[in-house]
Amino acid sequence: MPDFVTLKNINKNYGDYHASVDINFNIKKGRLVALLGPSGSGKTTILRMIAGLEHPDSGEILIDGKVVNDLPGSKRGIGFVFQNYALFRYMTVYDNIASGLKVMKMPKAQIRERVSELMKLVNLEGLEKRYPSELSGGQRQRVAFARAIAPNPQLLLLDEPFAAIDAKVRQELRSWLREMITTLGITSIFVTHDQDEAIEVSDEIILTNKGRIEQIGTPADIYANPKTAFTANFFGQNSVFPDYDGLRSFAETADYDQVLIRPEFVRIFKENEPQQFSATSSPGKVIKTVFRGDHFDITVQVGDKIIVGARTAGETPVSVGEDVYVLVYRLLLTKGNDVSVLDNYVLMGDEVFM
Amino acid sequence: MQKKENKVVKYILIGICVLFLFVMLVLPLCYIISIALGSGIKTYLVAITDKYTIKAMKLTIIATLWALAVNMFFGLSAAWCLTRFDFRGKKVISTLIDLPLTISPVIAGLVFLLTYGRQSVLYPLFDELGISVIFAVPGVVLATIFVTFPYISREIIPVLNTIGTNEEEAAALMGMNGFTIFRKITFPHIRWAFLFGVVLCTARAMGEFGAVSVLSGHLRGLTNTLPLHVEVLYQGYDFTGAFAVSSLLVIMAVVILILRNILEKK
Repeated sequence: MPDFVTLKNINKNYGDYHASVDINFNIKKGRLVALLGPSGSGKTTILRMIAGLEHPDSGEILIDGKVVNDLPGSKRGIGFVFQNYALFRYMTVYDNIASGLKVMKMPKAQIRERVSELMKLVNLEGLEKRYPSELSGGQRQRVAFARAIAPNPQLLLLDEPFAAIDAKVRQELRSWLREMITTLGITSIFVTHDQDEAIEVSDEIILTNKGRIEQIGTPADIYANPKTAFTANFFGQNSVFPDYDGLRSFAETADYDQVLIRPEFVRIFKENEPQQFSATSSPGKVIKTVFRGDHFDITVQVGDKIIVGARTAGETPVSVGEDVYVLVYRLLLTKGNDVSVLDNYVLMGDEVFM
Repeated sequence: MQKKENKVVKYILIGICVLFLFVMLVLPLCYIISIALGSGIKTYLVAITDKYTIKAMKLTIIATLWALAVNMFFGLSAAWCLTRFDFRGKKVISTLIDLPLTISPVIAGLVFLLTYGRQSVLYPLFDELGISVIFAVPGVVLATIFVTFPYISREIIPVLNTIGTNEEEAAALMGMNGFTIFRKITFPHIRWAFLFGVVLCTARAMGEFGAVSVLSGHLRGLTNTLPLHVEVLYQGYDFTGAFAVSSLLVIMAVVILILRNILEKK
């Protein structure tokens, strides 16, 4: 697959503030890519530079092999979905979707055909004459989507597409958008600060922090193999410790600053439950359980450490104050901005991941 | 008990408001009308169809139209540049725009007098071009523009700030040009604020006395606006005439007030 979008050594400053520092990446045609990062990490600036709404101080932006730095946004063949959708408030849904086509001087009959096709695609037939203020959040997002793809752009850019929607509808829209983009086969980049959203929706994640790129990879890869301390901290529900004293069967090393433990690296056994590696697990006391629907988050005091693990709702419940055994499979050790994986040596080679 | 007290407070406050408005507004207005019509409708009609009154009325309308035209353009440009661009000195400009609201109009008049009068270094230039500013119609227009220029931009700026730039950016990405974006996307948002500013500007322009008074020179039939004409009549002990002409201004003000209320509801 050829590269479709390329950023080469992009730098962008606002006064003393470094919004983008040496940004380099390639996006292959047809991919759905997440620009992920905490707020202020420069992800929206990158998106806006690709759209031509901001201009880099240095570096090159290529779309489909052509340098587009000096091309206005309207000539770059992109569709843009704004965070608050930016629907034209004084135009009907029909006119909103049609306005890009009108600018292109498409014949009226053709516009009508294209808009009705899009209305069908986004499942909003019959709402052509409504104004944006008369639509729900989810409907507005779909209008914004239809408006962005109306002129058949090669590249779709979405700025926090789910931020303005309540949690329940958001879940629905995520899978809807994922499906829609896959069906259309359009190369897409979306900005988000939500790791779950990025993991669930994207083919590839570009993780940004303080104007720099921390790591690029598939969600599975970036989650399991963080290359930097920031990445390790950003993903997963980590418990953070200064050391791993009291956890059994880990090779000794002093070459680290912090120890991260993710809930999926932890198993919790009741006292009476049979377990294969009893010599490797540590005794502890349950101090909190939180019901999450399909599972329980269980917080256990092990020596001086408070470790969070999970048990499925199908397993025998544990209660607060109960003595349990905690088995840790894997630690992430950070040093500076480096991170390394330390596996439990008793379990190495075994398929133990839940 | 609590409710009863609230009711008492309510009626006391309403009473104060009504009394205040009656003493300050209704009574004087009724008085104007009654004096104006006191000597009979015929005298009233004579007073308001007097050739100097009509000339003053014409000048007032001319000055108002000039002020409107210039301030519509200036107001839109200033609002646009203050909300859509970042530049050094933006705060200074924003503050300066408000100056006519705080400065006494008489002082504004004097400043213009010094800038464009005979003792000014600019005077020979204007003299050569054959333009007289002071004690002439251009001076009246200038003074009117000066005292009214904040009104339109001040109404639009908050609206432009609230709507943000996303809709404009979306339109620009579709390839619409600047003017189309303004006409189709931005203007519908600021339409009512703009008209509201126009109404306020009109009201202020018609009623301006201080700055115009300094610059006009009170040349009857030449540089007198309606408010100045009222003063001239009054100083000449022509009370019926003065009040009759005043009633014209009052009627214009009431019409504008009604327009303003209609706009406020939009």
